Amino acid sequence: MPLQIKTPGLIKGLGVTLRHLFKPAVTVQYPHEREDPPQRARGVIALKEENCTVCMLCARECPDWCIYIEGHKVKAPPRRAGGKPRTVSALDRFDIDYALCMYCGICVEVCPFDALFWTPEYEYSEPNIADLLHDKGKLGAWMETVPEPQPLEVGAEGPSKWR
Amino acid sequence: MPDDDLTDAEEPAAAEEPAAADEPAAEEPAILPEHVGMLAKLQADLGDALVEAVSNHGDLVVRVRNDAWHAAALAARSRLDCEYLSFISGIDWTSRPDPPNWDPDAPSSPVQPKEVTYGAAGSDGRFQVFAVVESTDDKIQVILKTDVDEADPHVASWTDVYPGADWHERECWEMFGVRFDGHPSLRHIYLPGEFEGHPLRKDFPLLSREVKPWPGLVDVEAMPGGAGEEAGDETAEAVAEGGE
Amino acid sequence: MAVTEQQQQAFIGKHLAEAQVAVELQDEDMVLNIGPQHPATHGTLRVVVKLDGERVVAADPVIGYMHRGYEKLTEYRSYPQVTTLINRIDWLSSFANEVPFIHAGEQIMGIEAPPRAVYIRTVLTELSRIATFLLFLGEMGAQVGAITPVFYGFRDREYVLNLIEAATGGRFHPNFNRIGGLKDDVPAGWIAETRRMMDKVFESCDTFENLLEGNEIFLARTKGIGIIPGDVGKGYGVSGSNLRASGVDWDLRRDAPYLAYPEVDFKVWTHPGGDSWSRYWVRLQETREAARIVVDLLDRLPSGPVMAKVPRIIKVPPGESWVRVENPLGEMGYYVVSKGATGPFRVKIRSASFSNVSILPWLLKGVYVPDLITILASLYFILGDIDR
Repeated sequence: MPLQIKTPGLIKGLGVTLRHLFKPAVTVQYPHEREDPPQRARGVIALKEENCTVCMLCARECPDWCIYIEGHKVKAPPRRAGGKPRTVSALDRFDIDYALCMYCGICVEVCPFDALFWTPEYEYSEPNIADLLHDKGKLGAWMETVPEPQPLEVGAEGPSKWR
Repeated sequence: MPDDDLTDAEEPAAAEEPAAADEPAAEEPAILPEHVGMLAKLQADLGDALVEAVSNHGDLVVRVRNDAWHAAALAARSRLDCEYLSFISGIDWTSRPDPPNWDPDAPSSPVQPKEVTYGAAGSDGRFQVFAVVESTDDKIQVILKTDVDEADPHVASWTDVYPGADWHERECWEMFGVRFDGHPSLRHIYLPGEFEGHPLRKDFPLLSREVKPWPGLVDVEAMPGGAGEEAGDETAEAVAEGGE
Repeated sequence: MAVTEQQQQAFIGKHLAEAQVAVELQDEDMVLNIGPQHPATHGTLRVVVKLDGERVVAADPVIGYMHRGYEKLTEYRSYPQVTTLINRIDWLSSFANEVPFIHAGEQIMGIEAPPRAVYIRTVLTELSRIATFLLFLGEMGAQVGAITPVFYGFRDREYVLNLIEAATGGRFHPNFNRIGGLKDDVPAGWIAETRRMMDKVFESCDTFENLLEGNEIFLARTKGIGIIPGDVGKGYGVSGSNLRASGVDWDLRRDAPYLAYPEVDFKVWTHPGGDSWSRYWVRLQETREAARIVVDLLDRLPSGPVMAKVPRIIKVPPGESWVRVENPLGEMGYYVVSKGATGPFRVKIRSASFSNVSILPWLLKGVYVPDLITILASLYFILGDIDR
């Protein structure tokens, strides 16, 4: 093919490249700068231990079976003065295996007591796969990164809870 | 839902949900008016090999005799201009044998009912092969079904009618063990060549769900001394309230 | 006319060579494995080709390296759990995957999602279409040797994925659809942000046009390469943009209306060419069209709830339903059979790429090896969508 036919397309394409030369970069130098994920981003699950009643709903609904819960019953003081002492469940073990987790969010949605929350944090990679099993201490530590609920778009009729 | 043999089984489930109660199930005719012409054209070619036909959620479902499977493809292609093959697949209507001892009422443990029921247009036995063909000109589609013998599952191949049937039939053979007579090379498509068994048959166990216990089996340990019997049940009550 | 022995030998030899070419996979031609690890195969597709010099004599795609058995897995899971699985079939446009499955469930249950949910679903489906196609527009260039567009493709796709993440919480796996509606409404400011990004999408479509459509090398490498005649494509079940690029005017968004598409006025782009360039061109036009649909729908977004009244525990009554939609890659459908349990009894997943790739043995016959890469790139498949 003769050269003069090739030239216009080439110049047009090079023009695009040239224009981008003067535009700011869109990439982020990761370890030094961080990108902020949106508030709703499903990064890691935080556990508010005092809200958990060991009802096992999250573990049953998990599609991957990656939540391990153990609990036992304890006596608690009555709610009102003079009432019967109550029996409540105490949480012994609450582990989420992030090596299995699919980040679907079903556990957060089914939790009837608001004990689980999504946070957009993402920096918890581990060199050893076994360390991806977060216990309740580690999950509880994520609580401080949970963002406030976001306002909804105009025309929305309140947040809808799943089911 | 047209009145086939599923309607009886539908009652208890429908009672639970208000949304489904006002579904116009009863007044919907078995064959929608727009399907009558299509069905007549197929009937003309297939005759009594056309066993049953029904309109299901706006689609025409036609069940043909096993020996007329190839003729059905030809009829759909020539009479209805259905030149486009969507897919060919199979289904095993039996229930899974010995389901793990899960709580059948728990939402996350889908234990299927024990009794064997058949879907739209019915079935004679365990295996069925079904396919969807479409006409891109007339914007119509037909779902074709045929029964397959359980002991010796085989049916005619469509590869000479629709070249795309090749891979779909290989998949169906691999997953259900249905032999397609006249297929040029029935060999494994997804699984390694030495794989034994037909994974989508209901009696083929999904090992990952058999070896690990369902987390729903775990429960809160009772208090030593058996005092936890009448109590505990704050949790259960709260769960019941929880979802509103 | 006397024939010397040498002439006779030469004649026999020539015919023998031709006869051998016709016999598949048994002569001494070179057998070349392309993949399973090859940049042109977008994952783990392996194509075994038999070469006669530079020319492909026979091709046999070997799939299944990523087979995850989703049809079996769905039988062991409840409906909400299945939604998380089907996100991972075609991971570039996962939101669009959820829609047909949810529709099938809603159809059997007789539930309809509220209008606002339907509109937001449509917007997100189109956004995932844009994200998928932007990657294609960039990557197609990279496959035929133009390195620049792929960076712009990835950059612009990220804008769209950010929108999807802001609304659903997942860049790739939204899991945002529920039987009866959506998990939540979109956050405040999302609509304005989407409008701004759609302007960028229009802009980037122009960029791709400038970079590639005028590029003679690109044209020479794609025009007339890998022609799929419409009839052959239909027989193989090729769908979506690949079929529209073969001149078949068939778009389920218009021909089997679902979601809010009947309320939108949009053009179905077709191209009579059937070659790699037509497939590129059709997808470029569809990206613009999708951005137009998004802007149009956002202008008319109705207010109201995003979730219909559904029982707390989803139990789908016995029945079966076949729902197919126009996914970015083509026709995606679910044949859902329910027996009244909390999970489906059988789900047949009809994925677009499986059928789109099944034409390869036919299509690759007689092409040159470099064109094979062009053809694989222009068919645009996702391995998860082939292998399920």
